[in-house]
Amino acid sequence: MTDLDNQLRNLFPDHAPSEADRGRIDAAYRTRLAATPVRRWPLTAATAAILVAVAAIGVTILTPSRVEAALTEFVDIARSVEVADIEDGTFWYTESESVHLAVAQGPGSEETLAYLLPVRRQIWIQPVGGVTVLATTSGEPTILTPGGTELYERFGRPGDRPGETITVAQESYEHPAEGVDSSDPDDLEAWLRAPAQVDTDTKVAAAALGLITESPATPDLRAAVLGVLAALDLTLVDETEDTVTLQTRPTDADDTQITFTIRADGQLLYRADATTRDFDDIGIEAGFVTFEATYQPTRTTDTAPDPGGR
Amino acid sequence: MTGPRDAAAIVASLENPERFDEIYRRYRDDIFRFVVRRIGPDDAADVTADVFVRAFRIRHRYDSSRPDARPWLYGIATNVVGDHRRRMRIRRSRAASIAVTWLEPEAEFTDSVVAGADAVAQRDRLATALRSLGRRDRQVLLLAALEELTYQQIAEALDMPVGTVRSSLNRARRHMRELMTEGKRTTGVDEAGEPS
Repeated sequence: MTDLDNQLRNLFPDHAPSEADRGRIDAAYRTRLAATPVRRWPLTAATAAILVAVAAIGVTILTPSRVEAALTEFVDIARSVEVADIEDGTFWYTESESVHLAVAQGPGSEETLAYLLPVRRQIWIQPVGGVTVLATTSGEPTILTPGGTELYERFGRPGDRPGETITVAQESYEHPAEGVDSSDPDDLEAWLRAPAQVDTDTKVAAAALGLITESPATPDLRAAVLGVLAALDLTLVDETEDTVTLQTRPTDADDTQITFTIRADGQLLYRADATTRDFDDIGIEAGFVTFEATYQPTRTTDTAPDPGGR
Repeated sequence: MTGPRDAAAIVASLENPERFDEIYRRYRDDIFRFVVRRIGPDDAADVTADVFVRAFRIRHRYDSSRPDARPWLYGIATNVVGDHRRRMRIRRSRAASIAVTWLEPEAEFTDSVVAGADAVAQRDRLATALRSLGRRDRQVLLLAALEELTYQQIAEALDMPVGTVRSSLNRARRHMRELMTEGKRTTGVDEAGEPS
């Protein structure tokens, strides 16, 4: 066992399962195992007749919602976007300005500090085996916790260095969109919904938006994301010729309501997340916007900063 | 000594699926620990269950000449964790970062907020150095350091030659020591690097 191994063990401490953990694992394992393999029943003539009748009623009763209509129109636009070939040494580039809620606890302390932190993020993604560079620049925090300034200093001004740009590079980084090869909204939605935790439209929307956030997503994938969003239960907040602003409708199972603006070509321009729950310990009530960002559309560039010595 | 019993139970489970329970019961806790170390405790139970469900589904591919199933399970767990991370990344809402301080070794760029100056700085350097490793080197290093697998077991887990495991581990350790010594965090964006 080397000193490095010991440091890694301290970084990732052992976490033996409790009886409650074992119970959760057992329940999840038994449930999922029971679903393997999937049983299929032959379609009887009676069932088929019912399905045909339901489908016919559906066609006559249902009309596309305004959200669906707007996004469906965008799907074709997004899919037809022509993308320049990415050559060696070329990067996808995007940047965002955001403000997000940060919460810190002192080591071994019950005291909690909440503050809003403005951050500018610049990202250079070199496709296929390249290097991704992230530069973040924090602004001055806004302390939310009453009397929090003293805590903030005592905690060592955690998590931010106002005005300082931190640049890091990572060779193995892969944007989630790079691992998704889907141009079909139904397939994509099924994939997004696969984890048991993604059980509401808000969570599906969050997952779908993740694919086009600071992203090198292809036109086909952006179109598929628009198709997924079109099928969700969303509220139309605003509409222009080439953008729509939509809002999710949280259920009891959601802790966030998402408002976002998306352009006809599938570029995400804005996102705000509001908590649907109170956090009494840090003085935050439901409706508080915990994250808000504006995004520049992704484009290509030939240069990226050198984070030093790479 | 559990090794020979592993292969026998997996082979037997092809005819009698209930026999796979032996593998599940024997290694559930080990795999849970592995998962928690990589993704934190929140989703660890679900992901652990997913590891065994996937193992069950592909048990016909198990090489029965390998008596010990642990490397095979770690290999599957590595893939399941990677899959989970990909999904988490696209679901991640920074709004949900409330009280999240878990450090993710393979997270792209964690925004976790941690406190405590010196210890955090050291931890930060270690995490940054770890993130700068190539994915395979990082997986090899963590399987060796945290799970204490041998070269041969890591090779089985990640389906790579033993010699490659050895060189990968050497490279990873050397790289980590260098970065930990020097510190690679630099400040200031190169003006020439600004996008045109």
